[in-house]
Amino acid sequence: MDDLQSIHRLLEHSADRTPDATVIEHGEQRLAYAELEAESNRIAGCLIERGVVRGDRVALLADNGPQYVAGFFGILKVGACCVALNGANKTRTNCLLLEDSGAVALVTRALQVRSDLPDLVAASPALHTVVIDRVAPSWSLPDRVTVLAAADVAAVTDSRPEIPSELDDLCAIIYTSGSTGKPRGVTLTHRNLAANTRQILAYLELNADDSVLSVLPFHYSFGKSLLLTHVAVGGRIVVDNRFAYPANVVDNIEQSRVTSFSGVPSTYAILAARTDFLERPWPDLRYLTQAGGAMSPSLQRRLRETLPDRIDLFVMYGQTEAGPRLSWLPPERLAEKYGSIGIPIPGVSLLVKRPDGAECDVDEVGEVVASGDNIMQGYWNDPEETAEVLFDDGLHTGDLGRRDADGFIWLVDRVKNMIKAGANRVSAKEIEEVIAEVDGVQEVCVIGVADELLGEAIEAFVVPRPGSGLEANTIQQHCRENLALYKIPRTVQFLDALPKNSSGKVLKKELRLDS
Amino acid sequence: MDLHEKIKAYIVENFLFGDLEPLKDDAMSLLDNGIIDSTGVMELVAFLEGDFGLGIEDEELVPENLDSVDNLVGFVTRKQAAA
Repeated sequence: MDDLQSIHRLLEHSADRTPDATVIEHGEQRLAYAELEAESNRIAGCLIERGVVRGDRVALLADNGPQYVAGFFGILKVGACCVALNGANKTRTNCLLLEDSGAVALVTRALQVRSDLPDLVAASPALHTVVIDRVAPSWSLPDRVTVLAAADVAAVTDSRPEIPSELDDLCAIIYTSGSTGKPRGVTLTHRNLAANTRQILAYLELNADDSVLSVLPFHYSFGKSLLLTHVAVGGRIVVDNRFAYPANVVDNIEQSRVTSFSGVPSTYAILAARTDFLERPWPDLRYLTQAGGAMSPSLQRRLRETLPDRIDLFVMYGQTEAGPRLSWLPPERLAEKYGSIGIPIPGVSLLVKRPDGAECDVDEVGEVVASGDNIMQGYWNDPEETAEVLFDDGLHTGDLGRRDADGFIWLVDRVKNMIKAGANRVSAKEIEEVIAEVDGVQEVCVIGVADELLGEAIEAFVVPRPGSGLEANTIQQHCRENLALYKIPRTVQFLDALPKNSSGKVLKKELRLDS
Repeated sequence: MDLHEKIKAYIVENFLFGDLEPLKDDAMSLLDNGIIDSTGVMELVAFLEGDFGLGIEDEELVPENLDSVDNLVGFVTRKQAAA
């Protein structure tokens, strides 16, 4: 029997079991499960009153905090699919995503959208409702749009809406960079996310006494899995959105007495380099998790050898397309397998395959192919991109790897031309397209180069039009105006010509050697 | 170039690529206004350590020292006075 449940039921069950337990803390704000449940019911009630129905898409644009979480579960309670947008995106990008998703409503915060709300609304013709904490008098919005502010939400009943939902209903669309440069919407059903949540709980052995300090945004798949796993067990999530000041975060981990902390490789690189994270005794920490890209074996070793033995370090691997988790390295095997992504998580098959679909021999390199209940349905409205990664045998990850004799997988390269800057998958093509808009750019090529902190840093190579007098600053400034900060090339180099093969294809490897 | 000008010029050059307009005043938060992110803060620290020869302690990486032009100028001034 299928005993998985819809994602909002995770909150409802925990609210029924432990209504007074704290679910989320953010600065001075602290919400109990019953309070979060009530607030998400009110948001759901608003959306229902406005005619939002099962199957609709509703966008969510908010920093991590109680508002995000209440909005997320409120959207799901209507039977709608949550399209969480990245606040670091430029408005131009979020406009594209709103339009692409066909969102009928937007749940957001005034501080988040500021003067850009009219642009966001104008970009999404299907949008008829905005739920927001407060309204700025300067916003001029079309008549089709109704704005509900905090007082309107507070006036709605907090009783639980009983909307039937199926496990195979869409739960979330998460936009991620695609190789074409256009963001792709990863579509995940309740089944996908519920299965992945259960799979993660099985190896982390979480329970209601567990808690995490999250510096990872909930719109990002790793952050989302922190949220869902802790809500599922009735645990506590402490939000800290200011990792830019890591010393404060380290103090917060200690003072909030969380049992775990999660980060991407650059998180740990910064903690190790610029805080006393490795020197503190951490009496409350039970474990750390790391995902979102490959952490260098030397940093893994340093963490393992410096932190107290009783703190488990879970190295994990996944993709947004898998909800996201695919593999874990059991902590007791870490010291013999530094650099491996480990073994498949329970309920997931992870095979290394040859191009003909046959499984590779031990230590033979092939593409990593994943299958399980957690694998996405495809990319939103994009059957062509979907057909490039989803096959009868599962999700073709685009990662090349090998399996050792113990069954542990080691990644060696990528099939696709993507840059992993920090934990962000960045499309070289997207940046190239933005740079190509700059007057005086004749040709451009963007690559990722090894970087101690970020894993890969972005570098742009530009062939200027003769006599254009083009300067690097002009290009970077244009990127800053049109791309999220993490997508701006760190350096711009000018060349007379790009290195190409006989068929005219740019030889990125040669550029990497030169940089 | 005095201290204030030097710090401001670094921010404008490295994070705004020469465009002064987003930096509306010297008290505004660099982080909250999207001028830098967490990687940018690390670059800023490397700049202060390199160009001013400051030894910056981990516990000094706080917004009160680093999150605006004014805070940066005050921080560097205090560090130089204590040196």
